[in-house]
Amino acid sequence: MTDKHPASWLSRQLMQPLWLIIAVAALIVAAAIVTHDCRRDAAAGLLDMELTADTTIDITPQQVRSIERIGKWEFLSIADEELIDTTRNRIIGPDDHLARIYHGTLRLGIDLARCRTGWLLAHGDSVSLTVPHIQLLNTRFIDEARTVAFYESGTWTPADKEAMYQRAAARMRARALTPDNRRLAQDNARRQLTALMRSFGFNVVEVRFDD
Amino acid sequence: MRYGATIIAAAALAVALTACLHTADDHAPTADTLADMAAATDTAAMVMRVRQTSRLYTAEYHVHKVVTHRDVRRLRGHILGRRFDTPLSLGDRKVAIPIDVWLQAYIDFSAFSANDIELSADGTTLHVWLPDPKVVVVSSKVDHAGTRQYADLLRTSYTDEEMAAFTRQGLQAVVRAIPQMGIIETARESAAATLLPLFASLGYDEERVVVTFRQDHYTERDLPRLYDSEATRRHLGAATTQPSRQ
Repeated sequence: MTDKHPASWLSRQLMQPLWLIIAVAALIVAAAIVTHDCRRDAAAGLLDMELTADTTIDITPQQVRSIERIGKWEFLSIADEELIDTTRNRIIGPDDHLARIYHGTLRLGIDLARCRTGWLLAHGDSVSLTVPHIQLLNTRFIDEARTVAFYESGTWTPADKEAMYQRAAARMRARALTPDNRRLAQDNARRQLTALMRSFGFNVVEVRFDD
Repeated sequence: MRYGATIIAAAALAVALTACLHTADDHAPTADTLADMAAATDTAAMVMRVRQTSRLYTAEYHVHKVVTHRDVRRLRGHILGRRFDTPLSLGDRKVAIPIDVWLQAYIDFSAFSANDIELSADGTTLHVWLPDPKVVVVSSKVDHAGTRQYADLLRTSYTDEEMAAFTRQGLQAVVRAIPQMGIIETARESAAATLLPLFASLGYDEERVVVTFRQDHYTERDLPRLYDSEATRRHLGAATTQPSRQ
């Protein structure tokens, strides 16, 4: 029985080793020509295609949740960056990794709301200030919107990211809230408050910190 | 093997077309590449900076924002001088990221001196000039548990890097809205409320103390001036000017 269908005849011919080699060679040459033409056309501005995605966020409103009047005097700021990473071991396949760089600024100073009555006493050209001890003024100090997603493989839950945030906060506290930094803040507080009082004309200024 | 040659031919053609489609950006750095470079720079600069300051923080605003993004893939370009731009039906994906931002306004006393104080000739009225209040982002927090994302079958989920970039844009939007929030006015009123009792303790009559701030109206053009300059560079990437006394 003879197959007279042209497509079948072509397929049979292409199965011959010689024809197969010639067909592949011809296709490679054709692909090279097409690629070369595309590059030339792109360079000449005749053809230019790209797959794009809009990376801009939508316009949404912001809502002011609360307004608070405060009186916190900062004397030392400590800007810190922490690289936090975590790994999830898998029985099959490679382990999952997530690494993020957190930024935060811890502010040390005094909260004027904690000053006792009569904390500032002036007499003649002398003035005495008794201020609260140096403390961390902002318990929320991580600027998470500046976090750099350094490396990610696998799938991570919101709880994983929250745990990393808490680890970053703990590490920043440990690195920043040292006795040396507290002493530095206290020395600067004494210096700044003395300068402020002298600018008001007081020659003798005494600054004390509550125990 | 019956269709072996056909398969080989199709593969060769696909390789050629793929090479053609990527021709335009062979030598241009992609956004991902630039982001990687930025990340590498940040890592190298990972240090702790300690700075002595004298800032009186007088107002705090808590701002909430839901950052949203809809990812639509588009094929755009031009053929023989004719432009085209068409959305592709590759599936949709969306994300909503709630963020909370805490802003604080402060008066910088580090340059305050006797030149900023004037006592009237009769010694009864005290005039104090205070520096311009400035605003800084003291903290921002992503509500990870409240974050929602939806991706069709043909699309991948958002990566951590993409979501971090959207969050950063959300923070920039909050910073740009600072002049409309009224935080500067609140900061000035709060500063006066904090300092007047202090002046009274020093022996001045509160009724005869005049505290003057330098500017009444703020617009977005004043943002680099009223916003903390270092933070402005950090959040907006804009060149800033140091505040000058008017």
